[in-house]
Amino acid sequence: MEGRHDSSPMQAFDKDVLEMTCEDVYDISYVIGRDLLKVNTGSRECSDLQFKIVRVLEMFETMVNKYNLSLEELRMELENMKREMERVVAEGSSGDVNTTVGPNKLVVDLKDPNRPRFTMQELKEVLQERNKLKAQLLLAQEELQLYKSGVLGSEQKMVEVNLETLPQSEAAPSSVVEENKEKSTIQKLFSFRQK
Amino acid sequence: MKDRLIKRLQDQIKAIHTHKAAPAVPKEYLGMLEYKKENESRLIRTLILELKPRGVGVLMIPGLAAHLLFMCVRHADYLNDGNKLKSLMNGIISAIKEVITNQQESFEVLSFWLSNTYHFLNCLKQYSGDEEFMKHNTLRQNKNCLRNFDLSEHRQILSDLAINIYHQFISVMEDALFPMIIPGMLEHESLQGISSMKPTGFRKRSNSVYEDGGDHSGSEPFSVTDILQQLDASHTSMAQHGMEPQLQGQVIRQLFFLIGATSVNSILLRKDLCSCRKGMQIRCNISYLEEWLREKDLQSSCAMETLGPLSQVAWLLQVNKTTDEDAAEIKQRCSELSPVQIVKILNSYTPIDDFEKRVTPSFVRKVQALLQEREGSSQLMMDSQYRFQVTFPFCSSPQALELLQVPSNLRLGFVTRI
Repeated sequence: MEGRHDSSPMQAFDKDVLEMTCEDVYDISYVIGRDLLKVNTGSRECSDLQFKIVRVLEMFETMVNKYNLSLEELRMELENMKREMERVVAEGSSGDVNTTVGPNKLVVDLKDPNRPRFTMQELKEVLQERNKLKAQLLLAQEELQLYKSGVLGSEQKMVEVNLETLPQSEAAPSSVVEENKEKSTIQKLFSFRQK
Repeated sequence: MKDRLIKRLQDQIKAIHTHKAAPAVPKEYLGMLEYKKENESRLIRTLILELKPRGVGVLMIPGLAAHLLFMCVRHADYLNDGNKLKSLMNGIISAIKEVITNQQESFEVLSFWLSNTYHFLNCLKQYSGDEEFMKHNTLRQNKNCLRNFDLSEHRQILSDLAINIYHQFISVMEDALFPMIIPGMLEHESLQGISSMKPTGFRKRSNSVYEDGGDHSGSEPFSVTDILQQLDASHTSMAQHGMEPQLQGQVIRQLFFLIGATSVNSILLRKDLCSCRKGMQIRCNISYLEEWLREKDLQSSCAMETLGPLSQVAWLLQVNKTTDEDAAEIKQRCSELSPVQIVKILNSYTPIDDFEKRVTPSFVRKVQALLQEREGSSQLMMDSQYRFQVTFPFCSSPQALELLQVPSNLRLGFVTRI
């Protein structure tokens, strides 16, 4: 005899359906059976009704049983999932020493000033531009050298001049204008160098 | 000739067409259950060994298991198959014995099979063909009587089995009830007034069958409420198993006897229980028990009579014990107590406060003298182990066997309703 019998069988009628157990169905069966006996005339109709009710209550018993079993199964699964999740989270927040990193991975300290920052593409573009500029510079230097050695420009000699003194020229009068022009070009060149 | 033949045939065809279809007649059952001989052990296993005491069918229809078993018996008798019948009857008896032996601590199982064995016994009598058992039968029930075999010998065996089950059942209930009696009936102080003594009850229920239900955390002493709850649970279980009310009454009477005798014995041995206030408390508790009996409609069980001695002890504790008139009244009122018991109580009587006086030795002698003629045993204690003899008087059942169907959850699909 279980302690539950302390409560009246009638209480089963007031219970929330989803909280019922098989024992409640049995209490209900007893009460209904007892009441039926009171009104039983002994007729066949009464008896048929009685057994129809038996059948319905048996179906109810089966359903309550199944419902409670499913509920229990789901609860247990939820418990397992929760525990699993807690375990995974706990592992994630533990120290670096214990951290396992997948293959082909790099761990970067975000505070390191020498950390890698640029992509390969960005680097390629920068290098290409540098190479282009370097080539242009070499060309410009060559051109300068040629101007200096008199290969380029007019027949007039190119004179090395001081920054302070104006260039002295022995240029022919016909090419004075050009000389002047050249002077200005030279000036420009030297002013360039000055800079 | 041909024409006449044709006409006659045509008439017949017409007649068949116009003839109204006969109304569907509900199948008339004979009130028997047919099973194949090789399925006998399966039948017994399903309907006895593995049958749960709590199920929809068995709770809705009192004694269902017994009636279904009897319907099988009827069929074997109907077939005039003596071997089948004998095998079945022996199988039933062995199986019931086995169940109650394997589950001898289970209150539910014992209650269920006490009830059903009694029902089965009644069926065997009611349909035996003996006139003394047929007085309340309907015509149909008379028709259903056994035709070929006399099972009175088996009835005797079943009767003995029922007595066995009864005693086992009582023992289980007593084991549960016993720890509650002294704390609940005698020690617990529910009446007003400061208790002079700390209640020292048992701390735990001893019987492992019972779960710790109700209010008890296991650390509070028992009160009379616990006793009533225990009686309630017993009664509910018996009622739900469809036990004949008269048998329920016998059970309750035996339990009340235990309560009374245990209490009296305790009082006789403990001076601290022999006070006026204790007398009041006991009277109060007895009235609760009486009210409970009334509530459950069990007055006819004669359970209250078993509390007679305890009731008189309570009265004795409360009453004045000084004058000659008092002595005379004691002699008159305490008819169920022996002189030895009365004297012991008078000598043990403990006043609560300084105003009250102890019972004087001269008073005790006075009472003793008055009781000289009374023949009481020299034994001080009551025999709390005493068991009233249980009887199983015939009870006719109104159940019509031919209307009884087999609930599907009993898994008796291999049996056919005839």
